[in-house]
Amino acid sequence: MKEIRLVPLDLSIELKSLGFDDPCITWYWDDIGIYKGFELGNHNKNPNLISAPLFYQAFKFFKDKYKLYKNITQYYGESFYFKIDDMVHPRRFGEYPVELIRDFGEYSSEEEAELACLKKLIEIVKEK
Amino acid sequence: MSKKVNRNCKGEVILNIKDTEEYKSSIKLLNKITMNKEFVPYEEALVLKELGFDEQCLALYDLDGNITIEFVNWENAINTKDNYLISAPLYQQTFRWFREKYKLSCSIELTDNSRHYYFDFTIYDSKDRDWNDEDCFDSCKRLYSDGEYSTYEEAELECLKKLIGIVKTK
Repeated sequence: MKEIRLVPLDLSIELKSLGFDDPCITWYWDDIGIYKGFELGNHNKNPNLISAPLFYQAFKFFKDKYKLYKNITQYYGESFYFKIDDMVHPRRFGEYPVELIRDFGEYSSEEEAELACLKKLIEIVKEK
Repeated sequence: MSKKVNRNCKGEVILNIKDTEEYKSSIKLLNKITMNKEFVPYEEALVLKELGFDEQCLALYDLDGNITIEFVNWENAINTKDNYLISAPLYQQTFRWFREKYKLSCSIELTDNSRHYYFDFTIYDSKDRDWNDEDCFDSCKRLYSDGEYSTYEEAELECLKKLIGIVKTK
């Protein structure tokens, strides 16, 4: 089901370590794989499970918890790029939000851009 | 007034699934997810169906606007052609659908006027070139949001409404 895109296991583990605890529709079990059914809940509460968030949920988590806002845009109906803004950095008069990253990687699909953007968000938070 | 208890022929109590703790906790969590506005609201979902949105979704609305998640395998997820059910798409699904079907992509921007930040959006119509756009000669046609929105979720919903409006007038 291509429309329902879940964060892959390695990044879901990183999200768990960063405090992601929103309810998710399913979960990973160690490195065995994903549970292919719906089971709504905060699976990160269980030490043996890893919540499998939607990409959308993961980006909301970074916006709400770490005030990091991503924007993925498509150029002229062709390639995609992303940028990340810091929503809390102190600003002076006339300044725009601090743009941490502007990646003109020209990803050929939104999925690729989302994945690269999520990796970058995790990296930023881990470096803080 | 005590609730009527259903029993089978052996006199055993038959539990309605809606009375089970599992169901209640699932609904509670679903509401939390719904409140997080990950699913498109009922009114917009209804219009999307009219516009031909028929992709598989995780959840559906009934005609009263109640949302239900389907506990089925992904392979069997909902694809509502049924007149009495309306697919409840995720926002990300909907935006992808507009991009792929109508070549309309959008960007929800964080903007700052130095006193506070707000969200607004731009819709790019890559089917129609706007040759009079001074910023970029070979540009997509751009449509801008009418307002400033204090939350991302508000901007997202308004963007969706605008996309629907564009397609309906085409």
